[in-house]
Amino acid sequence: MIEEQTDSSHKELRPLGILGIFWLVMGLLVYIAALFVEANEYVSRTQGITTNLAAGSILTLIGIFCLYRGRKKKIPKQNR
Amino acid sequence: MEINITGIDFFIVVAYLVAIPCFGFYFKRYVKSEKDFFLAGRMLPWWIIGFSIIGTNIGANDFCGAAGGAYRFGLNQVHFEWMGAIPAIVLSALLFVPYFWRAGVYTVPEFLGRRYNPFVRLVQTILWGGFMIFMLGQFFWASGLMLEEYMGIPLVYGMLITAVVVGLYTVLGGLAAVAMTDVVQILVMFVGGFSLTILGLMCVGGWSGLAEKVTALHPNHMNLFLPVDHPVYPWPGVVLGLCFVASPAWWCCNQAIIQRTLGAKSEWDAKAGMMFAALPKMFVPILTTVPGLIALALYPELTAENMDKAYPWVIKNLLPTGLTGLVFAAFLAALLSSVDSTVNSAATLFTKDIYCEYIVRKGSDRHYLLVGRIMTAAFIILAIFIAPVNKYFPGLFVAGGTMLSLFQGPTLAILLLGIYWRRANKAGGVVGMLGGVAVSTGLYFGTWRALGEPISFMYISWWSFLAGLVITTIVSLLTKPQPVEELQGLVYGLIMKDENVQETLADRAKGD
Repeated sequence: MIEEQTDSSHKELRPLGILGIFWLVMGLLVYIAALFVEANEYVSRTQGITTNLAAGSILTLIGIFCLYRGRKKKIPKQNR
Repeated sequence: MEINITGIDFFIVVAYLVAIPCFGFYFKRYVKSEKDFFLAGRMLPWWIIGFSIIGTNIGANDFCGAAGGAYRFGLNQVHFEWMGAIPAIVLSALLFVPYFWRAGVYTVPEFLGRRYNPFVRLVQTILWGGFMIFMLGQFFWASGLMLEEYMGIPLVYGMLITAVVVGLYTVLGGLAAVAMTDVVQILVMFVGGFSLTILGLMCVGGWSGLAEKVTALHPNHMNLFLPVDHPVYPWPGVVLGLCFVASPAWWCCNQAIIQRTLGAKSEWDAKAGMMFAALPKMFVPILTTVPGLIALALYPELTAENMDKAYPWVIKNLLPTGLTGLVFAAFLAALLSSVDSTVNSAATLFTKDIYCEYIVRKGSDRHYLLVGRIMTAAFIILAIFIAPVNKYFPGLFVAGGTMLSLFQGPTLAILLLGIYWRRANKAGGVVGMLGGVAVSTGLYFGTWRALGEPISFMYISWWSFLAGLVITTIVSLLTKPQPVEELQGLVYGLIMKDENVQETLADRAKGD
C-alpha cells in the first residue's frame, strides 16, 4: 500500500551563495536608484531617498549575510 | 490610470526579469529523477518550505484584490490572513502534513485515493487541476495587462515574456527551482511592499491619522467585524465559513501549498516549514490591506468598479521616480511566484494522478521526468491560450473563487474524516464528496434563483462542509468497514501510536 521510495542519493540543497548574490545585486541596484529619486505631490525627495536607502540596505545586508553563511558551510566540505 | 516606468526603474524591472530565470535555471543541476522534479528530491529544509508557501500564496491579484477589498469594505479584509490563514496553517502543520509526508505521496488526491478509492482521486485531480488551469489563465492575463499598462509592452508580448521567464526554470528545474525562486522573490516582495506602506503612512499622518481619515469617510471601515446582514462579509460567515472551512481547506488540501511540504527532507522540516509560513503571513495585511486604506484616505473618489485599482493608484501617486522599479519588481515577484508554483503543481497532479494511473502505469523514472517537463510546458502554453478569455468574461476570477467554494468544503470533510476516523470507508468518501458538492451547487444556484443573487460563498463553504461530514458519516456507518490493513499508515491511531509502523513508514518515505 505504501509506495516504496527507491532513490538512494542524498543530495543537499546549497542555495545560500546564489541567494546572497541575487539579493546583494538587487540591493546595489536600489542604492543606485536612490540617486535618481525625485519629489512628487505626496513624497519629498528626502523621504524617497531615505526609503530607497533603507530598502537597499535590507537587501544588501541579507545578501552579504547569506553569502557569508553559504561560504562558511562550504569550508568543511572542501576540507573533507 | 497609466503608470510609465522609465529610466532606472525600467532598468531594475528588466534586470529582475532577466535575473529570475537565470537564478531558477541554476537549480536544474539538482534534477535527475521524477522525485527530484516533483518533490525537489525530498531535500527542502524548513525555511525554504515556509518562504515558498508564502511566495506561492501571495499573488499580484492579492495585492489588487485585498487593497481593493480594504478600500471597499475596510479593515475586515485582514481576516483572510489573521483569522483565516494563520490558524489554518497551524492546523495543517500539526494535523495533516505529518500524514501526507509519511504516506510518501506526491499529491493530496493520491493520498485521498489511497485512503478511499481511485474514483475519489480522479475527481479531486480534475477539480483541483481544472481550478489551477483556470487560475493560470488569469495570472497570465494579469501579467500581460501589468506589463502593457506599466511598461508599454503589448499584451501578447507581455504574456509571452512571463511564459518564457517562468517556463525556462519551471520546465527544467521542477519544484527545487520553483521553491528557490519563491524564496528569492519573497524578500523583494516584502521590502518593496513595506516601502510603499511606510511612505503611505507618512503621507496620511501615521496609523492614527489613517484611522481618523478613514473613519470620517466610512464609520464602519475600521471595524474588524461587519454586521450579520452584510451581503459579502457577515461576521457569522467569516467565523464559520472562512475560519472553519474555507481557509483550512485551502491550507490543508491545496496541492500548490502542500507540495512543498511533501518535498521536505524530514517530517520535522515538513511540519516546521508549514508552521514557519505563519510568521511572514502575519505581516501580509501590512503589504496589501493597509495600502487600500491609504488610497481611501488620500483619494476617496474611486468608483465601485475601479476600487480594485486602489493599489495601482498608490503606486502611481505616492512613489517617486527611483522607487517605482523596486515596488513594481515586488508586484512582479508576487505574480511570478504564484505562476511557477501553480504550473508545477498542475503538472504534478496530471502526471502522477492521471498519466501514471491511466496512461502509462509502469514507465521508467526518466520517462516520467520527461512527461513532467512536457506537462509543465503544455500547461504554460494552454494557459496562454486560455488567458484571452478573461477579456470577454471579466467575472472569471470571481467564477474561479466560486468554483473553489463549491468543492473545498466537501474535500476538507472527507480528508478530516479519512485521517481521524478509521470507520470512514470507500463508499462514505465517494458519496460524501459528491453529496457535499451537490449541496454546495444546489445552495449556490438555488439561492441565486430565489433571491436574485447567491448567498455569501462563506456560507456555501460551511454548509457543504457540514453536508460532506454528515453524508460520509451516515454512509460509512451503513456500509462495511474497511480492513485495518488497508488503513495502515494513513489513519490516526494506525500510524502515530504504532512505533514499528511509524519507523517503517519514515524509512520508506526517506527512501532508505
